[in-house]
Amino acid sequence: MSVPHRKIGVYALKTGHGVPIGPDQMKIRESIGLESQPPTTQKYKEQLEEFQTICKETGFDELIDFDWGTMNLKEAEAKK
Amino acid sequence: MSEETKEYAFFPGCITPNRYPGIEAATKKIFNVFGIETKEMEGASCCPAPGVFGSFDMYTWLPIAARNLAIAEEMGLEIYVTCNGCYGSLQEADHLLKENPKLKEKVNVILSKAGREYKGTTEVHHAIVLLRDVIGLDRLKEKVTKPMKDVNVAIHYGCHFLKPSEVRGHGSSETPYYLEDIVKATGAKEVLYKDKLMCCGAGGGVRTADTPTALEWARQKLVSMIEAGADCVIHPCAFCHLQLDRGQYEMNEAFGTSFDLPVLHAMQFTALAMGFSEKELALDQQTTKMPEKLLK
Repeated sequence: MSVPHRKIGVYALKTGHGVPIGPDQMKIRESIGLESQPPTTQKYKEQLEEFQTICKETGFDELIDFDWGTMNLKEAEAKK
Repeated sequence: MSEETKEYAFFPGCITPNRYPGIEAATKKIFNVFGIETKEMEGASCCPAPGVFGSFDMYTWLPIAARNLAIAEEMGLEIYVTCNGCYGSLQEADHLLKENPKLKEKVNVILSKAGREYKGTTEVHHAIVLLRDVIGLDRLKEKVTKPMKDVNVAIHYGCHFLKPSEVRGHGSSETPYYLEDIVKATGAKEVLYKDKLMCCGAGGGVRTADTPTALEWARQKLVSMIEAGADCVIHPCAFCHLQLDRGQYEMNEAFGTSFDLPVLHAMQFTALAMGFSEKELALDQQTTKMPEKLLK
């Protein structure tokens, strides 16, 4: 896997989403009458833990060389 | 698909809720008008994306998709999506698991570690399919209060809405009719252009790993649409939306071009025709701007 693809994996392991939400998007959601943060894995820790458990079980974390301590790619890869 | 079903679980995915929430708002507003109630899928995750997950590790892609399906099963509801990538992942995972008991057993062993079980009791629909086939074109036409008269539309399908055609069940992937019928119902006119059925260039993990190639792919499509006289492009996919909308800014920066072709998800286009405003649909928040012709 290329580093950019693995970095999408990092977002997923941190939030449950390959494309997570940020403060600007939350404001837009609110301005059009939607809940500011969708009720997904990024909002609920226990739900995210289910997602992370699956990724540990299948070895996806190892596939992308994910470091659970830093919640990023292992140091050498993260610098690329 | 049951015509009596009035409640659906909305699977948000990533790009619709987290980058283009106007697509979510448009869909919920349209469905509300027609008496379809949306229920939120608490704890849903990335579908996961067919390109970055499915292409590299099927046995991570499949249980994550199965977990999302299991959430809807626990709600006792069928699912709707607004993104082709989510449609591809969830419907294909559901198909594989329903067709292959041994695979289902293997996935459920993994899911059990997360306290979930996939049973195979839900179905996955695209919002566009619910609009055309469950709500119906006649009912839609009755609610079009701002007909898109004299608006020339380029239709872009993306990849996963139509293919694999055997799983999707939307007829031949070479002669599609879903978006064409919706364009007609809004009073707009389709313009034909070269390579209508070509990918937007983003899929398969290309945009992530090789953005210049992805943008060149999209540039070719946009040039063909503009040459055909399109006033805008409509599509059924949040990821295509990102590529075609944000991508025009990126192309202009990278190639010195001046693209500004309005990009609308088909649910946003329909919602405009039903009288919802540009602001309500967050069309004023995206890169490409909506011309007066679409808003009058």
